[in-house]
Formats: sequence, C-alpha cells, structure tokens
Amino acid sequence: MSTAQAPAAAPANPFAQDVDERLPPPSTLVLFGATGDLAARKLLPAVYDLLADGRLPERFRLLAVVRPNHDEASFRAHAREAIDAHARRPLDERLWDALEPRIGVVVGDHGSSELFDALAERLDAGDEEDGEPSQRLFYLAISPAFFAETARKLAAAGLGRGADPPTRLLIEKPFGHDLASARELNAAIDESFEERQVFRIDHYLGKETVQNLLVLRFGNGIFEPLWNRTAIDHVQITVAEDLGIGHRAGYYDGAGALRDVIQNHALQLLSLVAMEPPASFDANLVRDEKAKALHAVRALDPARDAVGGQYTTGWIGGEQVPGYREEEDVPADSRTDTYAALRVEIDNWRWAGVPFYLRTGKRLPLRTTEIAIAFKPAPHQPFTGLDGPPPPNELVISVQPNEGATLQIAAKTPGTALRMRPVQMDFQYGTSFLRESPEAYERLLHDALLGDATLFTRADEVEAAWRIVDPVLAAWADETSDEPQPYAAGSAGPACADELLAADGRTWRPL
Amino acid sequence: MSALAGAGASDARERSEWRGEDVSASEVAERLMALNREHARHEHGHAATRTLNLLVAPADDVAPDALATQLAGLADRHPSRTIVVREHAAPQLDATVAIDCTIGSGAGSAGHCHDMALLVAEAETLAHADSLVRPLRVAGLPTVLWLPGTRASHAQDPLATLADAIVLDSASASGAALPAAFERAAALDVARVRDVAWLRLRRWRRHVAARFDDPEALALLACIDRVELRSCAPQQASALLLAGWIAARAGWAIDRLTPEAHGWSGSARRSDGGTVEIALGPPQVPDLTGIHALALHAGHETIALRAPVAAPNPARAFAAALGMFDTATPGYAPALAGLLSAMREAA
Repeated sequence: MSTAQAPAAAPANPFAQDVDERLPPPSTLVLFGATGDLAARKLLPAVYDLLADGRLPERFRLLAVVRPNHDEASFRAHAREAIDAHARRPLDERLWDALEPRIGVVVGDHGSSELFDALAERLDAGDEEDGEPSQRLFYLAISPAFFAETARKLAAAGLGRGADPPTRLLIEKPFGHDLASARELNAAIDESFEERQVFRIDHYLGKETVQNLLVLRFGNGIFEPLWNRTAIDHVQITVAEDLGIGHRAGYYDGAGALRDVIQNHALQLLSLVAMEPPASFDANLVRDEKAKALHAVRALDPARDAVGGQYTTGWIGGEQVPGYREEEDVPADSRTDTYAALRVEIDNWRWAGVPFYLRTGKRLPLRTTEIAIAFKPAPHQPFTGLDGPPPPNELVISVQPNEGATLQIAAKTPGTALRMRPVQMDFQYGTSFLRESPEAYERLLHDALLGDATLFTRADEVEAAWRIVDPVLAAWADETSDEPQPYAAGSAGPACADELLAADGRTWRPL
Repeated sequence: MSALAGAGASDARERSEWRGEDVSASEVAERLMALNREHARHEHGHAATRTLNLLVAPADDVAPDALATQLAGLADRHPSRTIVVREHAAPQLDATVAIDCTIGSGAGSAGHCHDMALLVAEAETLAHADSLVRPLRVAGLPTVLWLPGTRASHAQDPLATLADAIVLDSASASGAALPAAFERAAALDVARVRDVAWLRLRRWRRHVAARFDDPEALALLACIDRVELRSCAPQQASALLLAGWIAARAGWAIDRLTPEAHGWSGSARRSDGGTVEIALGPPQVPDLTGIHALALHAGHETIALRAPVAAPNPARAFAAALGMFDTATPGYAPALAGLLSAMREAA
C-alpha cells in the first residue's frame, strides 16, 4: 500500500454549478489567412456574433497574421467591413468599439521563421499587458499545403506540443488528398502538436441539423429501436449544389466531387447516422463511435459501387450555363468528377444488408443537403384492391437550406372509400423555433475556445474516410479508365447513377 | 356575437378573429378549432407553429394594450397557443379567439401562425380557471403559466396546477415592494418558477463563474469582506438576486438587508464568522442600464467585474423563461431563500 499522500484537491469553483453555459477562459485567436475569403465571410463575423451573444471571454484578443501591405488600422477597417457585410447581426457601434481594440496584427509571411518568433513575443506581450496568460488558438485559414510547415514553425517557436499557456491548432479540410497524404499530414502535425490540441474543422458538423441528428437519434425513444437493418431498407445521403465551380477551378480541378464532398461532409453524415450510441457525449467517446462506423464500411469496388460524372452545358433556373470543361481555367480535356455517387455497405450487426447511397454534385437542379432514411414497407398490406400499397415510411433530415426533419406516413384520405396517400409530419427549424440558429463557425469557434472537440474530426476518422474513397480515386485517376459520365447541368446527375440504385430495385429521391 | 373575419393588420401580418359574449367554454373551444380549420382551408402557405401552451393570468393592474404588445413580441421566439385569462365584474364569460400569421418574405420562406384565446370572467369563475382552460390546451405540448404584474390574479392558483413552469418577473416591483415580490415567488413551487429577474443574470452569472475559474480569485473568496453592486433602479431585483446567489454559493448567511434611498444595504456572515458588508447602489455614471458593476473586496484586494459586453436584448431573458419548461433554474432557490430570510428578519 502506498504511503504517499495525495496532493490536496484544488477547491472547486462554487459558482460553476449554476451556470448553463461556461465562458471560455482568457484566449487569443491567431488568424493565419486573416485577409482571405474564409476569414471575411465566416470567421470575423463569427467572432463578432459570439461577442454580441456574450459568449467571448472578458479577456479575448484577435491577432491577425497579415502581409506587409496591411497594418493594424487597415486590418481593423477590413474586419469592420467584413463584419458589416456578413455577420448575422447588424454592426452595432457599441460592440464594435468593444471589439476593435482587441484586434491586433502581426505582419509577416507565414513562410518565414521570423514571423513565428515575432508572434510568440507578441503573444507574451499581450499576456503581460492583461496580467494573466491566455490560451492561444491558431486558426490556419490558409492553403492546406502550408498546414504542416506552419504547425512545425509554431512548435519551433514554443507554441506547439507542451506549450504553456496551452495552445490549439485549428485546420480546415481538405486534410490530405488521399490516404497516404492524409497520413503524412497527420504525422507531420503530430510531430508539432498533440492530437488533443488539433481541431480539424468540417463545418457541416457545426450545423444545427447535424447536431440535431444526434438528438433525434439518442434523445427520442421511438427512433433508435428502428435504427437498424430490421426496420430500415436503405439510406440516401445527398449533398447537391446548383452552382458550378465559380473561380475555384485551380483547386477544384485537382480535387473533384469525391474528394471535395464525399470524403468529408458526406462520410461525416454517414458516420453520424450509422454510429452506435456513445456512452456519453464526451468528445473522444463520440468520435470513437464515428470512427468505428467508418472502419466498418466494406471496401468499395469502384466498377460496381461508384459513379463519377461531369456536367455539360444545360439550363438552371431559366439560365443556360456552360459545361464544366467550358468553365474558366478548366482544361478542355479535364477528367475531374463534378458528380460522385457511391453505394456503401457497413459490415456490422446493425447495418448488415442496408445500403447507404451517397451522392454529391455541382450544377444539380437545386441546392440541398439531406439524409433520407427509407424504412421497410409494412410486412403485410391488408388494403388490397386500392391504388397500390402506400409508399414506405421515410424520415428525411434536411441539413440545408431548410433545416428540419420530415416523417412521411400513410394516411386515409377523407371520404367513404378507403383510400390512402402519403402525408408529411414536418418539423422545420424556421417555423418551430423562430430564433435564428448560430452559424456553424460560431458554434465551432466557441467549442474550440472551450476545448470541446466533439464536433471536430479526429485524425483516425480522417484516415478512415480516405480509406473508403481511396480505391475509387485510384481507379478514376487511371488514364485508361472511362471518363466521368456526362450529365446536363440542371439534371439530377448521370444516368449511370440511377443504375447504381436500379440494380437494387431502388431509385434516388427526386431532386 | 361576431362573425369569422380575416383581416390584414399590416403587410407583414394577418389576423383572423372571432369574438363572443356570454359564451360557454365549450363554444370557445369549438370556435378556436373552427378558426384553425378555416385558416388551413385557405391554404395561405403558413405553418401552424406552437412550441407550448402559454397561459397568461395578468394582475388587474396590467393594462390590456401593454400585455398585447408583449404577447406579440413573444411569438418571435416561442410561438404558442396563448390563453389569456382576465377578470371582469359581469357574471358571464366573454371570449376572443384569433389566429395571427406572419407572412413569409420572399420565395421559399414559410409564414407561420399561432393562435390565441382571451377569456374574461368574474372572480368566482376564475377560481376554477383550470376547468376553462383544459379543453383549449394543445395536448402534448408543455404548459407555461405567465403571471404579469405584481399582484396575484384569482386565476393564478388554479392555473398553476396545470403548469410545467411558472413565469414571473420580480423586477416588476422595486424598493420596499421587493420583499413581497420575492415572497410571491417563494409561495409558488420554486422549482417550477422561472423568474425573469433571475434569468436576466445569465450573462452575469457566467461572468462571475468565469472569474472564479482563476485560482487566485478563488483563493480570495474566503476573505471577501465587502460586496458592492451598481445597478439602475429597475434592475434592483436582479441585483439583489445576484448578491443572494453569490452569498449562497460562497457559503455566507445574509443576516441583514434593508432598503435605502438609492439601493439596499446589508451584511452577511462568512462560514469562518467574518462579516461581509453588502451594498447595492445606483450606477456611478447616469443613464446606464442593467447591472453595471460588481466589486468584491477582500482587504486591499478587489475583484472587479464590469457588465459583460454583448448586444442588448431585453426580450432574451423573458424568452429564456418561456423556454425553460423542462429544466430547473439552478441557484435561484438558494439565492431567493437567503434574501427572504434576511428581509423577513428586517421586517
């Protein structure tokens, strides 16, 4: 038996027990890529909206890493403009007056080591001024090509592993471009930061409906008993966009739909639908279950389980739009997939025999992200001699643009004859809760400030997702393979994608 | 009796209404159902939206117009089936039922509607107000009772038996009337009470809790000898509750609390026997709203907190109160108990 005396436990904060939501500790958010599009559209407005909601700590600083053509005054002006244009709330002068002095800059190129020494000095000076240390969050809103190098330079400046005050690294997808590069990136980051310091952002996980999926499954007693192969026929996950690639040809032509959406957003949604109930909503327990679901996905046969497509000229919203190969900066012989559909099977007790169909595409007829859970039909229909059996029940969780959930059931139409038709029980965030939902980036930034990693992707999840799509990417990259199937812009995708389901006697939900 | 009528109140809202005098409760229920059916038949593309049954039992000193304005604002966060129960002298039940719709703006946006019943009856009937209201509630939705004003309506107690949560605002009273407001809250089932004056403190409580995450501040807590709070007059109830909460959680017993010309003063006993002076005064800068500043002194050391920076949102606390039908408000009961104990002692 040990005779060593345990250290006395620190007294607990007696006020914490009555507070519904904790404020983050004193923090400095360091923004790399502070003058970029993501910062202007999402990150700076999110900081402002968090301040307006009273969710920032009293001691909070925003430190923007800017190039020499910016100084503090010009960056503050830029930030104000971005907030005015993109924040959920109108710019309030009183709030801006409170935020503006908290915004500072560090001038330099994130490729140079001097910048990181200057940054470390600046952070220490801020703490000295405030009279207490603040945690440091480094948000890399920069090209993924610089993630590893930036992480390494931060660590070299004493701001990585074991840093005191504590630090976190926030990075945004893509995390690699295949399994090998993802492993390489994770390994490189792991040299500089511990996994618990790394917050990988897939902004879909910050969306209200995605979080509501967990509440729907694990907060309601009626769904979970049905959430398995006994009651569910199949699942469809759709991430459809009506827009083309805009000016992103440089990135998109090297990525494609499978990498851009299926590997991350769609497979994250799949993991949330398929995961087992976690013992608690501890970040690692939730992510353990998600990773297990991804690991259980059966290896894909690219020829049988995947369809790639590429849009040709067509009509959307009464307007003729060019085909992908006619888009600005896209090579005329590009083989990039702008549409991808997968048929996925999950090899575990819950899901054996239940296919998950995933699809995404550009220039589809509308913008929608949804998860459709198609239930098996009733085992016996006593209503014979009618217009045919009612369609099976379907639970559709709409992630965007109209966040909500709809359950389709059969109901008798009024009248003396026994006729039935499908009706929808509808829950819409916009009409049930009239308050505005926070933007995904607000939620994610706030969670990162609090150190709650539940809604962030762990390294093993990223690698598990790449493992799923890697064989398809490899097959499509083969120059001797078929080109992506053409589909007219404004259509629901290539005909081959319909065959993916038709082979199983099913059809896609209409777009 | 009046007829069913659909009238556009403005270009953003629509209202359909029925009014009746000397009616029965069952007729009111039928009219409300008929109005909903009629409305659905017109297919305006509006979603019926209800997240709760909101029962309202205003005191007789609450002006109907002011109440109507507040109710209209509530729909923005908690669309409900609203049932208002008021008192009049006539021995008959008069009623109004209405559907209010906000028209969706732009393609793809849905409008939303919610319904309301106003029941006006004599005191004797209101003593059984639960029997009037039961047939009008939407089954399965939580029921929240809101008690506007400072005095109890005759409908208060019978309606409280139906409520999952009871919303009141101790800040409706000030100065020497505050003990009565706190007593009213304490006389109800405190676990179900959602005091808006308490919920206005959510940011302040987060702020205080965050400050005491700092081990140095936490170490000072055992030596605090003076608490000073600065607030504008309408926020006295909230300021007192904040002081009461700090005392309760720090383990102090408030032994004296008395109203003064511009605030309150009192004292509390720490668990080590030391004394903590409590002073609630007006803001040092005129025209400030809310609770402006909190200072906790420990000898020469001071833990000073300024009002948290955030967008002003006076309706937020009230909306929060309506949303908390399923969760308790931790900290409120001990804060209230500590204050009342000292106030009763002073009385």
